[in-house]
Amino acid sequence: MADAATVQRTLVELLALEREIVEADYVRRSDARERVADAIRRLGEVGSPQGILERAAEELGTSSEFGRVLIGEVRADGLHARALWSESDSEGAAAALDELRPAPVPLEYPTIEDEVARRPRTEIVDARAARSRAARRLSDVLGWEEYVVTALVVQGHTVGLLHADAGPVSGGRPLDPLDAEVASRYAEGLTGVFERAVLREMLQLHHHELRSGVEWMSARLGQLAGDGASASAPAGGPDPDGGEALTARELDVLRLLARGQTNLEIAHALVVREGTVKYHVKNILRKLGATSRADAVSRYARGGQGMPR
Amino acid sequence: MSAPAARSQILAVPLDGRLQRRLEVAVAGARELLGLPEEPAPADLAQLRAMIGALREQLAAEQPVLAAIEEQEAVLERLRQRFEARFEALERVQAAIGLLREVTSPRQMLARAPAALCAGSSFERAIVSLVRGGRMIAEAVHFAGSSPAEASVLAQLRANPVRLEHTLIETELLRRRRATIVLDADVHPRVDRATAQLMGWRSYAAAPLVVGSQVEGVIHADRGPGRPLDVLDRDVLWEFATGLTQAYESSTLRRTLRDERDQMREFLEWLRVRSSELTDAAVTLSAGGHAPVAPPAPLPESATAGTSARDDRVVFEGLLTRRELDVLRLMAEGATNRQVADALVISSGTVKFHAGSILRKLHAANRAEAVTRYLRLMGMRVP
Repeated sequence: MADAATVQRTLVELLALEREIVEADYVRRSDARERVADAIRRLGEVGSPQGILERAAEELGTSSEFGRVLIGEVRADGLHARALWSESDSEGAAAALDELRPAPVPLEYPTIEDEVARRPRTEIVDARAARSRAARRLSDVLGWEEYVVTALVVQGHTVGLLHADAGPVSGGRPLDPLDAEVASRYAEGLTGVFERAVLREMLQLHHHELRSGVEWMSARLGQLAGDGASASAPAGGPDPDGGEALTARELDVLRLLARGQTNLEIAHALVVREGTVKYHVKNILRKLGATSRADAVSRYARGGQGMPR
Repeated sequence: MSAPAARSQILAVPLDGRLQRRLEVAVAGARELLGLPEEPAPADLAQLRAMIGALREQLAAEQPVLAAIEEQEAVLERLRQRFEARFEALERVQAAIGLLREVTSPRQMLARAPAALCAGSSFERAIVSLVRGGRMIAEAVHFAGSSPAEASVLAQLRANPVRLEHTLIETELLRRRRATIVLDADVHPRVDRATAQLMGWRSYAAAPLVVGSQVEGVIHADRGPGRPLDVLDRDVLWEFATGLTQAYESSTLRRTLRDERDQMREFLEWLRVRSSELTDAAVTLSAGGHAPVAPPAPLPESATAGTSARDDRVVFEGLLTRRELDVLRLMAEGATNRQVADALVISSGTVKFHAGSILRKLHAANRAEAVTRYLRLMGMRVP
């Protein structure tokens, strides 16, 4: 039996080691959290939904301990691969993506993928296990041994699946609960960023199409005015609040002003006195309800989509 | 909401190689000391704990345990609890955001945010304020247990909007986009006196609500008068504020799209009916002399504002900093220096400074030209 002093010394050492382990674990978890948050923030800066999807796999890969990441879209006919990233073999990843792209991976009973898509959650899957329920075609093409799969959920609907593994080294690092947490947290952030980007794009599209509609109507009105013979429509600035339209001369001035020219330069260009330019500018601001020259340009552009030129 | 596999399973993760080797050596040493046979399986934390327990027992049987060891054990226990508490608190607040996300109206979402925060954290009082025209105006208040004081506090806060002076702590956190805690609000020179007195603040946490580049508001939270907060409270509030603004932006975008659709429908329906009326009207002696009928009035702008397109970040990437782009975007919307300063919670001097950089980078002679560049690059038709 060891003497008390040795036991004490050993106990102190073991306790110190346990403390180190507890701290290391905390650091690893906090670090993983922060890196996922940073990755999501960077994704948010991409802007377009397509750009976000393209970057999504790589962004997770470079911000985590995963070696390979696959993002796929869930549709009625199965899983469509969208982006595949590999830390060590980008050519292989590109080839695998090409192989997966032509046909969707069927999501059917009893695969894990099907289950995760139906009841969103995160699973660690061992594709090597004898009774593995990994989606066959996916494991055949990718050759991943053990991976995390999680659902991408927008408003309660699964729109995609995220797969990630530790890397191509056979028998390498086994996946652990932290990997599942990272994948799940990233999936949540990614869908949020993606959803907002899509909504923003829809809104823009809507504005754009509305504008085309207005232009169509405006052109139509121009024709009607032409049929009516009499005087042609005024050279026309917008009149957002039912204000007066700009005269042709005022439009000339506005055009030069928009190029950043000073009153004097405009006066030279139009061969008028500077005082006349000031007079025109004053009228332009009044008619457009603008507070400054920059504001006048902005108001004209925003209100005047349907106007000629 | 997707539930992660095993979030609270702390310490179930493998160690890095160096720690793992040290663990194995330590466990093997302890087994030998205790006269136990060698264990074939690689050592893990559970085994380390078992060894610690066994050694501890032996020691206790023989002599009073050294104070140093007890102290060490206590430290370890506190550490473990603090770590667990942190992850649990962050999880809880995430869950609260998940519930809030199901509220479809953006206004409702803000109104319910204080209650949701208190339900998902150890905060007991919370205030959501909106920033409008350089002022902070309370929008919703929640006290734990929904005390009757809520309504009167909200009314008093509303009656006294706080001007965002540059010395105010809130101004700084809106500018820097981060959360903060104040530990001595009762005497702190940069805390709004009236609010601090009304709330009985000693210690409070505050975080900005920033949607895209737009400062929308501030959220304040505390644990009741006089009770102190710590760094974890700040992080929890930040987590909540971030999640809330994201959910708020989604719901605002959805709402805007819906509003636009409804207005369009209304207008088209009006046009259809009116065209039919005019086309099919019989020509009678009393026909003619009709005044034109105006289409239905559009919704006020405020209902659809606050969701400017943000493609410009791509367009101007690498050319302008994000802040410069914020300034330019507002300039292109016709904002004056003062208005830009208010919207971004920076000083007019800073706006002028950014404007100078923008002109230089865009090679624009003046603001009018800079705005022209912006609009043109954004695909708008410019005079």
